[in-house]
Amino acid sequence: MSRRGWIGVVVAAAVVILLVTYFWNRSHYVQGEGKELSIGAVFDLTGSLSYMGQWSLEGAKLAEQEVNEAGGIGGRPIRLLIEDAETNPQKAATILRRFISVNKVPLVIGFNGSSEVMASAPIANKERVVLFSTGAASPHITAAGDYVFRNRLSGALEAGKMAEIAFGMLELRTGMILYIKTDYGEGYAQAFRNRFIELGGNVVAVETFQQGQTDFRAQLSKVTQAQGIEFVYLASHVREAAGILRQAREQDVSQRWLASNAIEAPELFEIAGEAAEGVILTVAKYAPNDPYAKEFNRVYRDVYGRDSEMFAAHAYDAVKLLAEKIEEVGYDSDRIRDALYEVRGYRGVSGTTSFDENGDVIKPVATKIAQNGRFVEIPESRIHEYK
Amino acid sequence: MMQVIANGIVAGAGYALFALGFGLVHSTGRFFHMAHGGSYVVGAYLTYVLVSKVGLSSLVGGCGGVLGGAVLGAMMEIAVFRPLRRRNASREGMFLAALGLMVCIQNGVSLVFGDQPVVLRTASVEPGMLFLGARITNVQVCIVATCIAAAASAWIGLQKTNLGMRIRAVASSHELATVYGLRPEAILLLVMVCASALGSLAGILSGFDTDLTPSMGFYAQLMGVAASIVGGIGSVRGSLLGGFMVGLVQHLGVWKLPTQWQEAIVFALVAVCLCIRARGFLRTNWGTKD
Repeated sequence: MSRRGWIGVVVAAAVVILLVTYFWNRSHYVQGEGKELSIGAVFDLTGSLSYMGQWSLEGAKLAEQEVNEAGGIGGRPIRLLIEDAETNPQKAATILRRFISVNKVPLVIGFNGSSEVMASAPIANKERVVLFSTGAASPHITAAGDYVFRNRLSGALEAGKMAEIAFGMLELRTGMILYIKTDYGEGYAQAFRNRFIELGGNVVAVETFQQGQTDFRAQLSKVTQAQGIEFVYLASHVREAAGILRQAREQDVSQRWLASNAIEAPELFEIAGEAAEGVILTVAKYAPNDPYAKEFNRVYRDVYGRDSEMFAAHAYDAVKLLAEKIEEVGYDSDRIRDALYEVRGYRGVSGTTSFDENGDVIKPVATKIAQNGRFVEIPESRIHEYK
Repeated sequence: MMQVIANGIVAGAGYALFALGFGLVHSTGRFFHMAHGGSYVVGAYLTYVLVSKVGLSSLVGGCGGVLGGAVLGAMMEIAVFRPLRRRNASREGMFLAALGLMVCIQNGVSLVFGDQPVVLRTASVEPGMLFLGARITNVQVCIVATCIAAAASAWIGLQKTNLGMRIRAVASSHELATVYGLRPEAILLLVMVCASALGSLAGILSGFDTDLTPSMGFYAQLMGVAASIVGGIGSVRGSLLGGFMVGLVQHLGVWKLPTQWQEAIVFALVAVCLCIRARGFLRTNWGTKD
């Protein structure tokens, strides 16, 4: 073909691609406008927090469906605009910008990762859009700004509680902290360390690893190297934690393992097997037998064929609560923000929700131990038995 | 302490295995083969598919992975490096092409399998055996043994066989080899296949030892190249020496320092070694005539 012919082909291809993307984008976004009330939803459907993202997505969709079946808000249905942030903070921020500029939504929910919230919060505050996280736990988020809320308990409370249990009930005095280099890991590690030292405990080493790292032998050699380490506090995502526990068992590291909540997923036992047994963690209390939660769990099992989980309940509550607030004060971000600060004792399926002046939720904390391939709750009165 | 040394030796064996193939390509093909990590990651993921999805045994799956890595090497040579060489591409051009290939392969793997680590080993988790005060798993023993066996056969192959002599002849001068009736292109293809098989073997073994991520190839590339440079590019013994040096320094170096300095320490080692012996400790005298 002649050079001119080639240029023609290239130009034609470019025009086709432009047209296709234009119409695809239109069909993708325009539905959210007009009669429907759009809510942005950013979940990690792929990447290392995808197990959380999947739960959040299912919970949120269930709530969307229920609100719409009950007639929507003043006759207008709500619509979740769902996007995958891929466990990537930059990606989450990009999606948020697009939601604001293209879809003009006043509120965005989701954000499973703490680093995603931290990357997106400045944008939300500047553009005056409510950012409602259903999964991020880093204590840093407490100070993330006026428009940032979450119904996932701050890690400061969970990690602080773990330190109290370690010192008071398990009678551990000397430990090491091992954390993943994300806002999440850093937040938990700091909160645990501060509280444990405040109580009179001793943290002799603090080590880190990267998200997606697979070889932890150098970190593990630190556990056995320092004298007198009784336990390791592990703030990690589940895949990394599973690799760490497995390699620790292979190197016969006999220290006690305490952990942050994000490792509570079936994969932990699939990968680490026996090596995960006996790990203790603290997590916001989720009581599936509470009457509200029970009904939710029944419907959830009908729809998705598996039991609900805390992250699904959070996302479900977030959508339900926001729908209620939109109905009360209107589809306006400033008014929704003010209304959220007023929420006290909202009865949801993830427990009762109240927000403090920082937009953080206040909830009780439970202690769990890994036993026979799953995490079971230990009543406070019996924790000392696991010394 | 023994555990730290053992960790260093196991890591070093992996790097040495990688450096072996890398050095082989470098001295015969005369370019910086940045896509060597591609066969590392593809071999490992192919094994993962064969073992976890198809249900083959680890050994058969591993052989399949090595075969796949070798085929990938042949494809890279025929589709990319050979045409470039025929057009007299500069070393820098070859380097860039290889780097581009590496990026494509890594992103391709990440597209298909996602970025989160996947797990190759399914066996139950047991404490490793006790050896001189260190815990070592079967896989780790296997890594060290494979590394030594591969290095020994590479050395014998290059020094004692007729084929090895031809490879060395091509390495020393493409033109002269052609004059003597050798076909450099065929030899280069063969070298690429062997080197990629070694690279994928390193990837598969490391996959069984730890887990797989798409970025594992890039990391191995960094460490393997460091090992190669320290030991002397193209020398079999140099690859071994460099690999073990990098592995040991990486683990012993963080004895008193936080572990986040692991990579920095390796490159400090490279810098120091380059100051002492600019051409590596055991750079071979074949294949460096340029």
